[in-house]
Amino acid sequence: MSILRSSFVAASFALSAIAAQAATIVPMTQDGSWYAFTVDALSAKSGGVEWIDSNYDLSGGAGDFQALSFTFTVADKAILKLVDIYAAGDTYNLAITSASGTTAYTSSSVAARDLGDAVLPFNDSFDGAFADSANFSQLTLTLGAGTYTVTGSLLQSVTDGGFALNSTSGGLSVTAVPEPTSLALVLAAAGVVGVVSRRRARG
Amino acid sequence: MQVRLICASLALAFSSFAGCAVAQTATKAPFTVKIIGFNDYHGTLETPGTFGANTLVPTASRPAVGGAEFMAAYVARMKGTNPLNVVVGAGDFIGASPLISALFFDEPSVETLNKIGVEFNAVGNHEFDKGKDELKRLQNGGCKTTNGVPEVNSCKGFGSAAQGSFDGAKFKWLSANVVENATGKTLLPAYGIKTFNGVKVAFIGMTLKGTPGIVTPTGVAGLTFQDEADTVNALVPRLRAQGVESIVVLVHQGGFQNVVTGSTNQPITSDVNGCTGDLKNVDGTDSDIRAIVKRLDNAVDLVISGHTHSAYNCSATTIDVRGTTLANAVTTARPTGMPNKAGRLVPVTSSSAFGRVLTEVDVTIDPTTRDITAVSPRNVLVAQNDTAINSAIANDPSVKNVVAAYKAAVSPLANAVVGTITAGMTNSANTAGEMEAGDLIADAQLSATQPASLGGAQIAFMNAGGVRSPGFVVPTTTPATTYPYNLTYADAFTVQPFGNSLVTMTLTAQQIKDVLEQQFANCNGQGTANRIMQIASSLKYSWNSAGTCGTRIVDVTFTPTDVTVVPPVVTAPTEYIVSGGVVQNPSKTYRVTVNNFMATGGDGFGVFVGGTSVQGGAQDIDALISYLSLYKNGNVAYNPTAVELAKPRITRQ
Repeated sequence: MSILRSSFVAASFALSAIAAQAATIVPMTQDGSWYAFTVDALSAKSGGVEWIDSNYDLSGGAGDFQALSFTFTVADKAILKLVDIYAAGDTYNLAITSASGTTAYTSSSVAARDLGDAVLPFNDSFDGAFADSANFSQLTLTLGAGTYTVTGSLLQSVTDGGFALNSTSGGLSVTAVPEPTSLALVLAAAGVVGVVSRRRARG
Repeated sequence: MQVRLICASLALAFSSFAGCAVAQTATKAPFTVKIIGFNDYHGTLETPGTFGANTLVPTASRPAVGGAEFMAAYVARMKGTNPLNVVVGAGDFIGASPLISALFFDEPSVETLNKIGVEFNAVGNHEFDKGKDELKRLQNGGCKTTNGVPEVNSCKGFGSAAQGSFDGAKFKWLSANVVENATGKTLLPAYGIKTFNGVKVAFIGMTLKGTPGIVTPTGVAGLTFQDEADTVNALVPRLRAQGVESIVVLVHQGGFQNVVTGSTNQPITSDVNGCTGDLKNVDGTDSDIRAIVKRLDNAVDLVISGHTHSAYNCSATTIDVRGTTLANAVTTARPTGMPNKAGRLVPVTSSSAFGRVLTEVDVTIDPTTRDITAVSPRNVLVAQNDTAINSAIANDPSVKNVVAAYKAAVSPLANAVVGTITAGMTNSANTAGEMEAGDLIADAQLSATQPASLGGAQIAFMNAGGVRSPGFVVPTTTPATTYPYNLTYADAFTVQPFGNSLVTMTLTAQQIKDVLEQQFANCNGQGTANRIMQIASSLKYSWNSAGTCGTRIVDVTFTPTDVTVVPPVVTAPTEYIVSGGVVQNPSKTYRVTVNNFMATGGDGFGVFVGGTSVQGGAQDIDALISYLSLYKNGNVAYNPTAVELAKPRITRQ
């Protein structure tokens, strides 16, 4: 996992532009449920590679291919996870906005892949893909108390015959962590955006 | 582990919710999703009449079908049998609609489709009748304005959230193969995705690539219509990268159940669940839809088609119905489908038109592969004589009330005078096949396409079946009324209810002879009865009833005539196109107007498919009203016996 603080300013501009277009804001529960997002530059209203809402459902989903963002309020502490699914090889930009500002992240680096590859790792389970960190790009963050909005976009795309496909899906989950009151107070007092957990390095 | 959506419970909590949460469950068992499809609704809020499941059903036994409230009730009943369901369409949901929808800019179509529960619908050619901007308004909502002035007939809102408003479509129009030249992007989304038990099902929506040839050019300006199969095949890897394996194509293109020349023992009953001729043309070539499916990627699991207004079910559940009466009918299962690029048979369905039929498709999905593993379609009549359905409507009259409200609102226009006639003109044919009502319609269609900019037509043919009862006569509901009679818009609409559009094409003298020969029973693809076309006053012909296929047409003469003025004016000497059965100058070309139904080979007139330099034109009803306006408001009344109308035009020897 890497945190590209050096690109923070530029990324903030780019991602705030995405956030301004957001048509769909999905409230997340903090029980570890995975929330799917899609990228498809062909269908996105903007023509870009931001996360979009492609899942139409008369009971609520817009499916309007507008930008998609997620929001949740952490009481004490929570673990945020991001993972790529289906075809391996995609990586993501992520921007987390709270009262104290926006921070940019990128998901872990993985090998580039082409749909024509003889071996193309594939996993249709969020948990399964998350367990396969060598192939499926991911990110884990520990967040303190606060209200957060998460947006994202595709950073590295699977290619099709050498050309970026710019079409994929991934998932996001938040799991609340029971926290000793004292630590929660410390985090809250610091206005912490996130405590980033270290994960083992991968190829 | 299976991914399970928990959208429903969240939707209750959050009004604007889209990114469904997914939970993990241990089950991996295959499950069934019900896909309910239909096509070519054309704003048919009220019943289009009676319809039988096949041609063996006696006319008197065919139930009244369709009507928005009945469609809604049937869809609700189907959905009630499986909570995993989706309602989709294959285009032409608007346009070419009856007055009850057309007068209100097809807002009634959209509102009733919302209530029927449609979720995804392909654009069809008629979605472009009023242009892309108007289509987007119908998608997004808002009131219609013209030059900034609100249209009084827009935003009645009888089926929207509030009167004075128009919600727009709650369903998604899809246009994978319609690209805006200015942006390079599809006009509307290429596909929609709905997720069932965590498995995504994609619906790719398209219209026929030939749309520009059959709609008014202004309606499609700035748009490019791309190849249907190429479009789907390019989307497949994109969808797969999103985890989609279950792919349904909604395409506004189709075929007919045809008895293919040279093959034997084919059913001729046109059962709604039949697939006679496997959607081949009469001559054995591939129909448009069969040609598309033949090039489709193997990932496509089901094709819901339309456009031809035909009903067919070419799938594992196809039946052949043979017999001469219902009593002796024999039904035989015959699994069919259209071969795709890999040679696999893909199910292809269509549900007639005007809300007569719904296609109920149960698809089996394997959550392990996320793919559709079985497809079981069934075409179901939207019959109005179903007791339970009537009870359901009585319990929830909301859709019925919307229809009634528009019915009441349309009455003033329905009663507007459009022209005066000195005598009645029925749609009864004389022994030669000529109908007085047909003569009037053919003249109107020639008139509407005669100016060079509108097609430069010289000749017009009108299919007899499109001249509806009772013709242009005093309605039986006003028995005391006498001639001269002021025809109303409703009278005219009764005769021309289909909302076909006019198509002007170039035909050679040989093709004109050929299509006239194609009128006779069992000749060159014609059905089992004669279908004598109605013709505008510029053409006359004689036919020999004793002849055989290809030899009946004796003389055909063409007299250039300006029919845009009253009375019509002959502008050049008469020439023989055919004399004594011989085509005089086979390669000489003429501009010929027909309706879009005939242009696509409808009523057995396959010759028209070979027309060139095809140009779309006005709606048939608009052509008729425009022509009749020459005969109203103090102008001389239309006299069907006037010499300048050049009758008789068809002579039988």
